[in-house]
This record gives sequence, structure tokens and C-alpha cells, in this order.
Amino acid sequence: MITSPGLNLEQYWQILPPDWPGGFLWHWLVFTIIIIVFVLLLVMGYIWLERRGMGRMQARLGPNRLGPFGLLQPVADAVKVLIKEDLVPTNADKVVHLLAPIVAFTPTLMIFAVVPFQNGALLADLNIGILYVVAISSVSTVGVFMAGWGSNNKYSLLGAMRNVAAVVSYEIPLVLSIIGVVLIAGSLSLNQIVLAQDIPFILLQPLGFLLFFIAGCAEINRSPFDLMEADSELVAGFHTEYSGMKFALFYLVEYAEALAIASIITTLFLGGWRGPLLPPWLWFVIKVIIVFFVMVWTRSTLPRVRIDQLMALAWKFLLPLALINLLITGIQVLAWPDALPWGVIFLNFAIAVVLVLLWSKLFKLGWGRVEV
Amino acid sequence: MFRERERVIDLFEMVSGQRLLYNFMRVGGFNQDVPEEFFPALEKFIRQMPRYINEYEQLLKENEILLARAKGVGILPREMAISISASGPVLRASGVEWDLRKVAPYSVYDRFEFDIPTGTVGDCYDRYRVRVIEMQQSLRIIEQAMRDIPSGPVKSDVPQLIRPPVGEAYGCIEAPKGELGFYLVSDGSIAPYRCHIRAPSLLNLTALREMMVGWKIQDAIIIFGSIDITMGEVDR
Repeated sequence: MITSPGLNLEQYWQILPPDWPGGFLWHWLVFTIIIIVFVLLLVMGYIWLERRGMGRMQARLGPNRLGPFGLLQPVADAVKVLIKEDLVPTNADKVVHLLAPIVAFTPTLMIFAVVPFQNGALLADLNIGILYVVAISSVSTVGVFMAGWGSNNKYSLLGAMRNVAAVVSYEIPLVLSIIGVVLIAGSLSLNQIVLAQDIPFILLQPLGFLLFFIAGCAEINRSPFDLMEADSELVAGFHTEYSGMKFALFYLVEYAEALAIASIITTLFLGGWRGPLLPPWLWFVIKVIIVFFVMVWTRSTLPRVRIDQLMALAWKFLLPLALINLLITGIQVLAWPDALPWGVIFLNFAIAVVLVLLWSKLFKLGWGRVEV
Repeated sequence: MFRERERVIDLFEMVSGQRLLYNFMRVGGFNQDVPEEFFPALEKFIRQMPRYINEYEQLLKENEILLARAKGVGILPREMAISISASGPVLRASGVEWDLRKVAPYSVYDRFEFDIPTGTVGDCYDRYRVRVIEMQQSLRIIEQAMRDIPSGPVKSDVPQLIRPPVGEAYGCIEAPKGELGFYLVSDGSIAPYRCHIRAPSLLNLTALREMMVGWKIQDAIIIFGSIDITMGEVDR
């Protein structure tokens, strides 16, 4: 059964059976609109939350002029950016420069096709859902690199290079920590994964959650891993040479990616749309916002790491721990094939704490000076 | 950071009437006495400031990322620091116990009790530590100064135009960034024949190459920040 916010899809479902092509077209149209509205609204909410939240944490006010609590500030920003002149550097590769924001934005939007907002309420219930997410989410890196290359600016290129390096490295622990969840749920479909979470997987997979959160933050370049647009070093990274609508698209990509990662974390670890009392889609939105708030919190607390330290963290810390986590999860699933007992929660938390503390003593973060 | 800065600026504004260019010192004293609400405000500030500093210490002193970024980065060896005539926190972080307020006390600084914090290695982390401890020491000095400050006239009777004797003079103070010196040559007229300002930022900046070669671009930012320069002082 398919239902969705504000719209009774059950009725059209009875008129148009799903195997009929017209039925799918309607389904496609409705969910595309829902996804776009969801992404745009939540991105605006995110921008507001980030600026206000960070303002509070840094003992300032944040935007508070436009609308109640400055809620309309993102709208004003959008209008400002849209009416700005679109500048293209003289020596830029015009075609690549133009295509880059589109290539970066489209995959980010496509991720939401498989994210369930409610039981069964998703554009396409792929049986390989999470695999699709992993595959699609790395494509926007191509857009970022195109932007860096096409701008003909050394800082842009440097930022783009860092991004590619970070994404390639962090993809591995990211996927490995997903596999733990998949092993327990027994399915790659995101809807099935949510249905399998009688106990939220954050409790069964605390280490996996931690690894996924860190790797996810690095993948979408949130602080402390925001190396690709480190404002104090690279001006603005890969989108230094962008203005107007193209810049707005990159800005949108940044937050839409954060939204995508928050949605995936919610779906995989926090029980997705499941929750008491409130309607499921509201639970989903609430959890997504909470995850994003934690990201804002880390951003305003931690300083930025260096590029070699970023790499070292991925390969020396996250990767081994992800492998160990996978091994432990595999053994547990073998030992209790039907359902993991509650006692496993405490065991897994203990394992996570011990492993993190132990491993942090074992590896060295980055290297020192280069002899010249 | 701006929370504390705002409070300090408020205090400056009370004394001088300006928020940025505190031009209230005159030859022979000040242009006016401090307003009566100044001392209660200062007292309140001294009470609150240690709490703010502690907050930053908790956040940053043993922050894993800060340690990884700043420890051992941009080392300025002791000999090099002396030979490029660095001063202020940059020099002290390299392990030289040199503070003009102690080694050549001017004004009333010989009456105050305070410590000179020094680093051991001379890396970015040492420079950061030295600065934080200096803030705490400054609070100590202000506390003592506030206790001992006498009341009375704030400006002595000095003629409008001063004709110093022929000759030259050099006066220097320990500014937050280092030794700030003024060298004047007088030919006996009302205007100096030559005037040179020894700006600490410019001289500290000459150490940049020594610290920076071999590090990554990202380290350049943190090294640059740890020297704490004011570009207006460098580019004159």
C-alpha cells in the first residue's frame, strides 16, 4: 500500500494498476514532485538551521532580519543569487564549466528515488537500493572535478583534487559499514531494511554507525573534513569561479548531499520512518533534521584536518575498524540466524568502545615536514 | 572570540570614546580621566574573563585535531628566532625568556608580579599556548594595576609645542605582538628630523620562510596565523 503526505495515492492506485504503464507514469510524476519539494524545502531549512545554530554556538545571533527568526533568509539568498550576473572566466573550458553544476546536482537528486519517506512511499523500490545509492552518490564527484578543471584556476583544481581523493578513500569504509547493516537486515532494499529494524540498527551496529557517520561527513565534505572548500586556504575551493545560478546549484548540491547522507543514516541506522504516535513521514523528517543538527554541531566544534591526516584517518583507522566490524557482525549473524537478541546491544557497544580506544593508540595521523 | 573582544572594546570605548583607534594618550598624560563607570565594568570583566579562557582551554587545549595540526608544525629554532630579531610571543615560544616589561622595565611594570610564559620547541602549538597563558598573566597585571591606581590629575602641564634638544632617542614597549619601538632624530625643531617605527609584525614575518618550507599549503595557514601579524604594520 502506498500513501504519501497530503495525497491519497491509494485511490489512484485502484484506478490505475501499477503494472500498467500509465500507472507508473503517474507514480513517477507524483514522487518526482514530492522529492523536489522535499529537497528544496529541507535544504532551505538546513541552511537556516546551520546559520542560526552555528550563530548560537559561536555566541552571535545569525540571520534574524527576514521573517520570524530569520526564517526567510534562504529565500532572500536564493533571489539574490538568481539575479546575479553569470560570470565565466576567459580561459575557462566553457562547456565543462557549464555542465559541471548539472552533473553534480543530478545524482544527488537521484539518490532520493530509493529513500522511503513512509512504508512503501518511494519512487522506485529497487531490490538493490543501497547499492544504487553508493553508485550514484560518487557520480557528483565527477561534477566537482569538472568544476575544478573547467574553471582554469589553481585553487579550484586543488580543491577538486582533494575532493576526489577524499571520496575515493572514504567510499571504502562507507560501503563496508553498510554491509554490516545489510547482513543483519538480509536485504539491499532500503524499504526492507527499515522494515527489518525492530531494534534500530544504531544499537546493533554502534561501530558501524560511527564509521558511516564519519565517512559520510568526509564524503560530503562537512567540517572537520571540508578540505575541498576550505575557505581560509583555497578561497572557496572548486566553486571559486562560479557565480549566479551555477553557484546556487553548487550551494544546493552541498546541502542536498548533506540531506542525502542524513536520509541514508536515518534509513539505515535510526529506523527510518518508524516511530510511535506521529505520522511516519514526520518521524522521517525529524530524524533527518536531528542527524543534520549533529553535523552542524561537529562543524562548529572541531577544527579542520590536513589532507594527509584525512587520508590517514580513512586508510589506517576507518578501514581496519570497518573490516573488524564486518567480521564481528558476520559471526553474530551466523550465531543467531533468526534475530539478534537484545544482549548483543551491550556486547556491541563494549566492542565499539574498546576498538576505537585501542585503535586510536595504534595509528599515526599524517606525516611531518617534507625535506627539500 | 568576538564575545570577549566586544567586552574589551566596550572598555576601550569607555576610556577613549573610540572603538578602534584608541587615541587618548598625550605627551604628559591622558586627554581625560576615566569615567566613573569604568572601574566597576573592568572589575566585572576581570571576574568573567577567566571563565571564558577556561572554556577555550577545554575546547582546544587537548583537542586531538588541533594537536595533530599544530604540534611540531612550523618550528622556529631558538637561535634562528634570536638572529632574525623576532620578539613577543613568537620569540618566547622558541624558549627565550625575553619580555621588555621584565628585562628593561618601563613605566610601572617593575611593581607588578607576573610570569613570562615560554615554549620549549617553538612550534605553532607552543605559540598558541604562550598566547593563552599571556592572557591569564595580563589579567593578573590588570588586577594589580586596578588595586594600586592612584587618583589625581591625569595630565601634567606640557606646552603645546615641544622642542626636544638635538639628538636621537629610542623608546620601546612590549606590545601584544612583540617589541614596538619608536626611533626619533631631532634637529631641535618642533617636527622630528627622522622617525622610524620598529614594527613587531614585520620582523616576526621574516621568520616565515624558515618555518614554512617543506610544509603543505594547509600548514601555511596555521603557521601564518600563529605569527599573528597585522598587515597594516608590515606594509608601510
